[in-house]
Amino acid sequence: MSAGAATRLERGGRIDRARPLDFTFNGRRMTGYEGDTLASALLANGVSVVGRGFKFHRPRGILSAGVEEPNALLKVSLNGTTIPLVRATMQPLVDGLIAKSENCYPSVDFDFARARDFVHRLWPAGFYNKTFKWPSWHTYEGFVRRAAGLGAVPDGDDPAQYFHHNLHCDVLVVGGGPSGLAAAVAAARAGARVLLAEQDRELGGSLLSEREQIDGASAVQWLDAAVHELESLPNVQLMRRTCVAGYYDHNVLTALDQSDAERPDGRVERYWRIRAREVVLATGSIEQPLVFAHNDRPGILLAGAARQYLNRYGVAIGRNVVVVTNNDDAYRTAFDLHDAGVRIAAIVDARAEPGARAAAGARDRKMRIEMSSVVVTTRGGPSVSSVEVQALGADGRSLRGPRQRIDCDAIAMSAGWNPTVHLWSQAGGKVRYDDRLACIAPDHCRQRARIVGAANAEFDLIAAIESGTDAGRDAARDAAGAANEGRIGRSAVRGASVERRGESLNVSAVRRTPGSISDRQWVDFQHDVTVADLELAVRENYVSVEHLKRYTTNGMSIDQGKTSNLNALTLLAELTGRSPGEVGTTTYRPQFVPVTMGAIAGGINGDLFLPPRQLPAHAWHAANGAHFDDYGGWKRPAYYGAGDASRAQAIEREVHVVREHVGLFDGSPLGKIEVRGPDAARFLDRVYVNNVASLAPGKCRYGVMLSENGIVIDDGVFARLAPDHFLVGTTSGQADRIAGWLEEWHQGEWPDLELVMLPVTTQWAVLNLAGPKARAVLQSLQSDIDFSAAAFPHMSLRAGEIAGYTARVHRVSFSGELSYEIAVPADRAESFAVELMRAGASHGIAPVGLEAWLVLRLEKGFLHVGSDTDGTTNALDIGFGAIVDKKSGDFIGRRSLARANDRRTDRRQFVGIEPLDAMVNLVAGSHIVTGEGNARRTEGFVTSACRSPTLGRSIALGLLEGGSARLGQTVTIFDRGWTCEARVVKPAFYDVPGECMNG
Amino acid sequence: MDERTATAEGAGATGQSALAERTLITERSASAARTVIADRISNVTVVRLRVPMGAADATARRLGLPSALRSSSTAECLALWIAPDQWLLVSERENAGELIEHHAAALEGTLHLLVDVSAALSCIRFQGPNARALLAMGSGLDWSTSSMPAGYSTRTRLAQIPAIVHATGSDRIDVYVDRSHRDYFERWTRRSMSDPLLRDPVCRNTY
Repeated sequence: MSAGAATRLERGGRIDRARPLDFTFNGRRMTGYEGDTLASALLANGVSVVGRGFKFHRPRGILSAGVEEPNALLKVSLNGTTIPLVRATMQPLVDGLIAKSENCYPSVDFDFARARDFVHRLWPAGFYNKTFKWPSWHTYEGFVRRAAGLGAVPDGDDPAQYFHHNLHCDVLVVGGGPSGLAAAVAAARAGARVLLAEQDRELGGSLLSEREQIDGASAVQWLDAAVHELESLPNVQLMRRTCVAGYYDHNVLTALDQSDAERPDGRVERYWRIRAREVVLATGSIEQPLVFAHNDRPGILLAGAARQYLNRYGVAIGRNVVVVTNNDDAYRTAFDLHDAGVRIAAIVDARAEPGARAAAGARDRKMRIEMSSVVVTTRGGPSVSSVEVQALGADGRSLRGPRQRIDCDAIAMSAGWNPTVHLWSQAGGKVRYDDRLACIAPDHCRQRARIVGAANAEFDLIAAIESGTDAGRDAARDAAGAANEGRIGRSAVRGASVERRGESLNVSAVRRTPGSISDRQWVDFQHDVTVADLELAVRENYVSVEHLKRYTTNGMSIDQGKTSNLNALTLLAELTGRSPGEVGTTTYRPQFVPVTMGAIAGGINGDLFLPPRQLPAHAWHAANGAHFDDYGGWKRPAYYGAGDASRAQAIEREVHVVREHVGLFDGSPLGKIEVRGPDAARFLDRVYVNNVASLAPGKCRYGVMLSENGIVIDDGVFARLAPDHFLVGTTSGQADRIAGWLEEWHQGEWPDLELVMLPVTTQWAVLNLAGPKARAVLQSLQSDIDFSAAAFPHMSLRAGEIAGYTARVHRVSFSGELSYEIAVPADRAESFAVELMRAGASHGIAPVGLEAWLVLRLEKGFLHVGSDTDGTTNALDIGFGAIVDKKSGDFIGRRSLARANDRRTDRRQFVGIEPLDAMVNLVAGSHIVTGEGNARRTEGFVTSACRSPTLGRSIALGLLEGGSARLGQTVTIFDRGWTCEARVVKPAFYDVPGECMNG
Repeated sequence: MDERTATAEGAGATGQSALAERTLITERSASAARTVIADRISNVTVVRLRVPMGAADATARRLGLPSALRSSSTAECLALWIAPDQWLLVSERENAGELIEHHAAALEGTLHLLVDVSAALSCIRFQGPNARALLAMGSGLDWSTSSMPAGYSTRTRLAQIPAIVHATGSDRIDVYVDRSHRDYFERWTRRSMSDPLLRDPVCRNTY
């Protein structure tokens, strides 16, 4: 294992040295402390190389201490859960944690794929788009895809638990650093419901690793006071280790909560949807790396990260450190390291002179400073061991003088800090490059958001706190105003505050060492994009920042360019002779950090994914051996188990039961809508193709509904309960849609019609007795309904009591047999089913599943809307021409049926189909074809098919061009290369006169 | 886990006699077992009333029905507002026939529909300091007591399904879901209650 120079100091940091924690890295046992991150513990254990580059597999060490980490992406296993590509900088160290490097073989210290780096000139940006073209991309695709990618998905089921939560608040503060805390305190004091979300496990942000003073107290004292106050307030909720990663319209934000990710009893993640009246973004800033040759070498860290490891974790990144900078902030790192006993070999500063405080601090500590100088390259193997420094020319774009070699074991570098404007941008906020501050700063936003602190380029600590306080107070005031108006709050354009932005860092725009080998100068560490790649892109005219991004993939990896986008756009500006402001920026999109798919799904999978609906008598069906399937969102019995009978045998048996005895079928999902009012009949007459007004009370009628385009959308039986009271029946899958459809037409088009309607589908369970013995079964039960054929004819309705059960009985048939649909209150369905089965026992009754039911209707040739129709089938296509012509009034879709195209005689029309070979099975979806060879085309489809148990032959229904005029013709059926001949017949196979049904 | 007991406080906000039965649907081992209890309330009479939009305000005044997003109690039942022209009439004392008959008489001369939906809806009662936090896991409503005080009633989507929500107290909420979704909703409830976050007695997700 490559040894680094980092080491744990004897004292210092916020870690609990009394609580050591054991973990392993690539199989090696190590120890850290409570309060460590995995990254700080690795550094403390002298680990130098933690991963390998994406493309060239160069050794990589830890670069940062935060969310922006591009290199330390490890596979982490804990308590049975393995997560790939975990940023070691964000992973709290816990006992028993197992970390492994990814993207390397056989080990992170010796990786065969490093050989690619030796031929790196063959692998420029976009190389595979140019190279893998002959004979086709697919020849190479498998290899390239195996070689690409950063991590591996763990095997097996994911044992972690995921939950969704929703939350409303008046003021959401994103970020628990100094400005965020100040905002939260101010908003809470003003009485607002405040939510403060912080991605770190501790509140404090930069205060956790800085040695600054606030109001005469130490930063930590100020922090403790603020946190104590917030924790004591009932109107405040603090969420630690919760990263707000998405910002959407209407101030809806999403957050990944990993506060329970290391539970001993298993990983738990939560995904929060937060609706905030006002948002304060205190998201801080991210330090940017400098661009010099071999700047990706292990041992080179961001200066702020070095300071954080030192002050928060008690880890020095080396014993002999070079600080390379273009701003004053890195001097603080040099001072803190020096004061902790670390030798500062030199400060290499690209500027002509540092700020006064920085200069004084360096002078007091007698530090060597190389002004107007840059690092040309680094040396080492693999960790950095020296730097070569050279002076900048007067133009800042050339080098002059001799190179100096400075020995070191670590480098702390800084190209300045860039505001974390991701959420601001996601919210629709605009950003622009600020030449004075040399960073991307927020501009204005249309959502109810404010941005404060370093996220607003307010890099001075006191200014950030003042800014946060003002924003929190104002947000609480505006939230209260919106609440009083009873709304979330209308959006308005708000500009980001600019008053407190200052030049406290004194940043120079020089980020890249000029005149150096550009193909060894890394811009995007995670996607291995170099300056040479950017130069190539510009040469090939990819001069738009969006094009450059896609051509080079700069900023397109997991870190989404948090340490590379700013450098890339300033380099693009330099290469194209424009200013960075003219170049612009790419768009920031959710998610700010990688969010596990499990968290987004929230554990809503399996039977929770699509809420299944259960029949009222579900338990009874299950007890009777039902095999359930999903039909239109309902769990319904497909068929009933009968010993070892196969599915086909069970269906056939159930068909015979209905044809010969009596079957009990559960039709409860059939839609039921009560419509009442003096205009109810007029309304339904406009909805149905069929005549409604002529229906007498106590009778029912089959009806078809069309869309405005004349397309069949539903069918069913409607009944007249009273002169002004109807019960509309719909298909099972369309019950909700038709209820909404009727509401839409009444409320939107015909509000003048006097009626009210309510869906009652699930109030009633519908048990259907079908078969020649159905009447006998019902007549054996105590009832006030006369079930005789004369008193209760086909297509009529009766209400009364059956065996003590309140019931509405339709005498209708979908099976072609004598049939009664008996509706009883749903909570009595099971006991009523038992009653019917008991009464029918002597008549050979058996439960019948939906599959047999569909076979029965197919034998009868009844239309099944959705199966036998599609989005082009109109009323004329299904043989309703006579009914349409006969109806005098208007109805939905009527005018469409008058169009020439709708009246074409060669449209696909509903027909029956019989294979000439009666034993050939047809398959629904098969094509009806005509012509041969290249002239062959489809002239229709088989829409339903079965081998009829009753008829002992194969039958089908279909849609065929000009079908109604082609009865008796022979057509060719095509299914996946197989063909057969079939005869076109009327869509009726069983009991064509209807004697069974009407008897 | 099929503990049937007569509801001690089963009448909810109605103050009616306790004829309904309740069945604990949550597991005692769940994370939230000490902070939320969910009971299925059976034998509750529920009638849905709808009148034409033009007659809604007058009907509400005449029958003492609640305005938008509110509930009210009458001598016969609890009335929940569920739409500008619709109410749910809930009783644990009268049967549906009695309730319909009574209101039909009061609505004489006004077009209306009164339908028994007792068997179509299942009532689940959530009680405990984290009841609102639990329900917030399935809906984007603001479940805080300030936005949803006692007496609040609305229709919404909860755990992906249609639901009627009735807040009867700061730590008690009745949820009516379609009977066909009852099994699903109870499973969703049990699963949601396994979130360790709800174990915290001061869980302030709906503060």
